Amino acid sequence: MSGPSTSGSALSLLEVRGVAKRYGGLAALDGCSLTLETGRITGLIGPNGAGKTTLLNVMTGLVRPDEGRVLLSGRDVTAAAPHRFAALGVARTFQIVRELGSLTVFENLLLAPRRQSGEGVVASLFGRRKWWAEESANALKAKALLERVGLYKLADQQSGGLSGGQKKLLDLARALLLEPRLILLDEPGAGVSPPLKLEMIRLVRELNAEGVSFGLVEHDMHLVGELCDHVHVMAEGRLLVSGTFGDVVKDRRVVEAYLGVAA
Amino acid sequence: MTDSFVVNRRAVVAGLGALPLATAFGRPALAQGAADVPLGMVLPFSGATGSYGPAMKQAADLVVAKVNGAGGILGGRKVKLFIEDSETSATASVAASKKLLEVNKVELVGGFWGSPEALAAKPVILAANKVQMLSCAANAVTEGDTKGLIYRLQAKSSQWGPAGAKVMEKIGAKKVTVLAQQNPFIVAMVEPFKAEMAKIGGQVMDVVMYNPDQASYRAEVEKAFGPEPDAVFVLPLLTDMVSIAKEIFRGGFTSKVVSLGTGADAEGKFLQAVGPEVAEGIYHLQPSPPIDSPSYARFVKEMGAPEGTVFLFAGNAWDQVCITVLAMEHAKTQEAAVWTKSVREVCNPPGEKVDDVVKALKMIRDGKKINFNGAGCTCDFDEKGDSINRSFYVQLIKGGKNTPVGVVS
Amino acid sequence: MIAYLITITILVCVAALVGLALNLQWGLAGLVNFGVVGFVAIGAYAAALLAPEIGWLPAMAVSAALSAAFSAGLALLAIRLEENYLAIVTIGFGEVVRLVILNEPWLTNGALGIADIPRPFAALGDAVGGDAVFLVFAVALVALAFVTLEGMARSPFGRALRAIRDDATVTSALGKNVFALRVRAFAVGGAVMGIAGALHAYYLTYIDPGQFTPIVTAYAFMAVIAGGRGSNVGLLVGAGSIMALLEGTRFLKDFITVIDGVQLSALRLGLIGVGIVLLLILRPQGLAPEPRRRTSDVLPDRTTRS
Repeated sequence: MSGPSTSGSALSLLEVRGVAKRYGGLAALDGCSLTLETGRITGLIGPNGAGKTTLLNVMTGLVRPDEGRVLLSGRDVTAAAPHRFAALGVARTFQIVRELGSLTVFENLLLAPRRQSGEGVVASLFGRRKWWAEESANALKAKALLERVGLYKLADQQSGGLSGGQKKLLDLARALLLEPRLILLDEPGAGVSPPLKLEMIRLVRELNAEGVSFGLVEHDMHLVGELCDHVHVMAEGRLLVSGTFGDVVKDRRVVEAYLGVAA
Repeated sequence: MTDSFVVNRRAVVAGLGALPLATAFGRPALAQGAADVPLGMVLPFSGATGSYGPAMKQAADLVVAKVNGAGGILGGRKVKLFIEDSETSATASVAASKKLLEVNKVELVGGFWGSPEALAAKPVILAANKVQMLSCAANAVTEGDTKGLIYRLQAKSSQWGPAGAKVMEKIGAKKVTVLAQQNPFIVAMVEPFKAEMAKIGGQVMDVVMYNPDQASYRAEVEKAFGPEPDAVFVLPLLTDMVSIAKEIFRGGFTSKVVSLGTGADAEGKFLQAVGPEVAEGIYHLQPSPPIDSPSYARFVKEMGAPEGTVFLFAGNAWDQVCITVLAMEHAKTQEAAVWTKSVREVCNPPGEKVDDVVKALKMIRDGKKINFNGAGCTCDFDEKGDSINRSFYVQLIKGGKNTPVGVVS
Repeated sequence: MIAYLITITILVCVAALVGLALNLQWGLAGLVNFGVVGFVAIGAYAAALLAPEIGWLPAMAVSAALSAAFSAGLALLAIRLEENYLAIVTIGFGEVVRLVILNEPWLTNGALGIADIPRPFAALGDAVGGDAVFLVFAVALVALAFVTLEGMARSPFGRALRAIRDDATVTSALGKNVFALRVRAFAVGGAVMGIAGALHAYYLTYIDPGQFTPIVTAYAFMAVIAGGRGSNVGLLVGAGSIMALLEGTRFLKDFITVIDGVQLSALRLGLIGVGIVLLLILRPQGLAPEPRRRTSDVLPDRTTRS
C-alpha cells in the first residue's frame, strides 16, 4: 500500500501514496505513489493507458481514489471537493481544450481570480461598489497576463472562436490568474504548432523562475526533455521508474513499457 | 445573420402583432354595420373538450340565419355572432371574453361548455355589465351576486347526482360504486348522488376518482368493478369513457354501467369510437331536451342529424341565442342590463307556449305574453338564473343503437 | 380595444416573469427545468389560499419563499446527478404538483378551483375603473424583476453561472463551488416563478388545476429561446412576440370569412407553431445576445469597439 515516501521532507508539494482507482474490471491506477517537489518542473510520462490523466484527476479532486491518499504540503486532500484545490494553490489545464466558449477571452480571465465577492447572490445586487472595485483590479491583472501570452488583442472576442493553440494559452493564462503554487499541465503540447510550443517552453521556464512548481503530463519527449528537472514514468497504473530525463529514457524497463513488450 | 433576414423576421412578427392594433383603426372589414346587434360566444374548439364546440357553433349559426332571414330584430337590424375558441383553458377564456366585450362590443357572452372557463370569465363579463349564458354544470357559477346577468342552460351538478341515483333504482341496483373523473363538472355530482342513494335504500360501496389524460384506466376500473357491485356510476368525458369502456369489456366485468351522455353518447361519437359490442348494455343519462316536441324534431332536422339524435349541448347554444333575441325584442333594446330583465318574461310561464323563434318574435311584437320552450330544455329560470324543471332522459345502448328507457326527474 | 390590450399586456407580464426566471435558471446557468409550471402553480395556490387571510403582499412573499424552497430542495436532490437527471426530476415534479392540487380538495378545492381571490389595490382599481391599476402593478413587478435579474446577470455571479453552463468541470477547477452556485440560481429563479403564479392568481381571481398544464413550461422555453438565452431584454421582446402571435391570430377569423370558424381555430394553433419555427430558422441565436463584460467597461484605456 504505502510506497517509498518522502513526506516530511519540506520539498514535497504534492504527493500521492498507494492510490488505486478501478473502473469496472479495469484498474486505471494500481497502487501508485509519487511526489511532485516544490520548485521543480516534474514530468509524468508513460505509454497510453498508464493512468496519467486519471492520476491528474485524482490529484485535483475530480476523481476519488478507491484506495490511497493525496497529500498537499503534508495535508490530506484525498476527499476534498474539486473547487477547493484552487484555493489551496493548485491549478490545472486540460488535455482536450475546454475553453468557456460563450465567454469572451477577457471574461475567461476575469472569472478566474479567487474570492470574488460579486459571486454572492445578495452581494451581486447590493455590494456593487465593492465587487466593481475588485473587477477593476482583476481587469488590470488580466490585461497584463493577456499581453504576456499575446492574446490581448483578442480580448473581447468569444473564446469559442480561438484556434487550438490560442485556447491552450488561454487555459494557461487562466490558471495563472489563480496565483497558484503548483500548476499541473495535461498535455500542453498536444495539437500545438512548433512556434507556439517554443512560446510555452519559454513561459513555463519564466514562471518556474518566479517560483511556480509544475507537473507536466506529456507525450512530446522534446518538450519533456527541455523542461523537466525530474521525471516519473508510469506504466499500468503505477510508478515504474523515477529520475532525470536522461537517466529515465535509457532505462530498459521504460523502453519496454513504451514498446509494449509483453510481461 | 444578414440584415435582410432580420428585417424578414421583424416584419413577420410585427405584422402579426399589429393585427390587434389595426382593428382599432381599420373598422370596415370586421365591424358590423352600424345597425347590427353583436352577440358573442366562447366555445371549445381545441383542447380536451374541443369535440363539443362545433355542433354548438352550428346550432347558434342556424338560429342567427333564421332570425336574420325573417327580418332581424329591433326594427330590421341583423344579428351578428362572434365566436371565440376557449381552448379548454380558463386563461384563454378570459382573453377571449375580453376581446368579445371590448373589441366586438357584444351584449351577450354565451357558450361556455367548461366550468373553469365560465368561472374565470364570470367576473370579467359581470364587470362589463353584460349577460353571461352558459352550458356548464358547476354550482359555483350561479352562486354569489350574479347581478341578474347569468343564465345557465344546463342542469346543475347537484341535479345530475340524484338523477343518477334514480336510474340506479329503476334498474334495480342497490349496491353500487362510483368511478369519476377529477373535473369540476363531475366532482360536484358525487355527494348528491350518494345522498340520494342513501334515501332510496341503496349503498355506495366505493368512490374511485381518476385523473384525466391517463394512459390507462385499468387500475381504477378494477378497483370500481372489483367488489362486484350491482352497477357502477361512471362519470367521464368522451375520451376517457372510450378507454374505460374498452377496459370494462376486456375485463369481462358483469356489473351494470350507468354513465352520462357527455361520455357515453356525445352525439354519437362514443358509439363510433368503441363499436356496438363494447358499448352494449351501457345506460346513459343527460338533461333531456323536449324530445317529443315537433320543434325539437325540426331542430334535429335542421342540424342535419338523423332522426332521434339527442343533442345535449348544441340545443343549449341554440336556446341561448333564441332567448337573447327574444328578450332584446321584448325590452326593445340591445342593452344587456335592460333586456336581462325580460328573459324570464319571455321564457317562464304563464304565457302562450311557443318554440319557434321566428314565430315567437312576431308574437312579442304583437304584444302577446309568451312562454318560450327551447331545443335543449323548457328554458324556465329561477332568480339565480338556473334552469328549473330539469328532467333527465335515460337511454340504453342496445344492438349498436341508443334505445330510450325513460325519463327521471 | 384599449381594455383588451391591457388584458393582453397583463398576461404578457405574467409570462415575462416566468420567462425571466427560466432565463436565469436555463438561459444563464444551463439548468434544464422542465417543471416550470409546478413552481408557478405553487405560487398561485399559495397566494390564492393565503391572500384572504394575511393580505396580498405577505401572501405573495410566501409564494416566492415557498417556490424558492421547493426549488432549492429539488436542486439539492438532483443537481449532483448528471445533467439529464435534473430534467427528468423536474418533469416529475411539475406533474406531481398538478396531481396534488387536483386530487387534494381539502387543501386546494381540487378540480373546482379557488374563486374570489382578492386583488391588490382593489379599491383603487375600482375607483379608476378597468384593469389600469392592475396593469401598473404588473408592469412594476416585471420592471423590478428585470432590474434584479439583469443586475445578477451582469455581475460576477452571472458570469460564474455562464461558465458553469459552458463547462462545469473547468469552472470547478477554477475554484468555483459549482453545486452551491447552481442551487442558488435555481432557488432565485423559483422565487420569481412563485411571484408570477401569484400575479396570475390575482389577475384572474379564479384558479383551477387546468390552468397549470405543461404548456406553460413550453411557452416559457419558447420565450427564452426566441429572445436568446441569457438575454433578459431579448426575453421581454420574445415573450411579447409569442403573445402577439397567440392573440393576433385570434383576429384572423374576423377578417377571413372564407374559412370555417372551427377550422380556423385549428389553423391558428398551427400558425403559432409555424411562427415559432420561422423565428428559429431566421434568427436561431435569438433576438439579443447575453450581457458580457467588455474590456472597455473596466479598463479606462480601451476604446469601445463597434
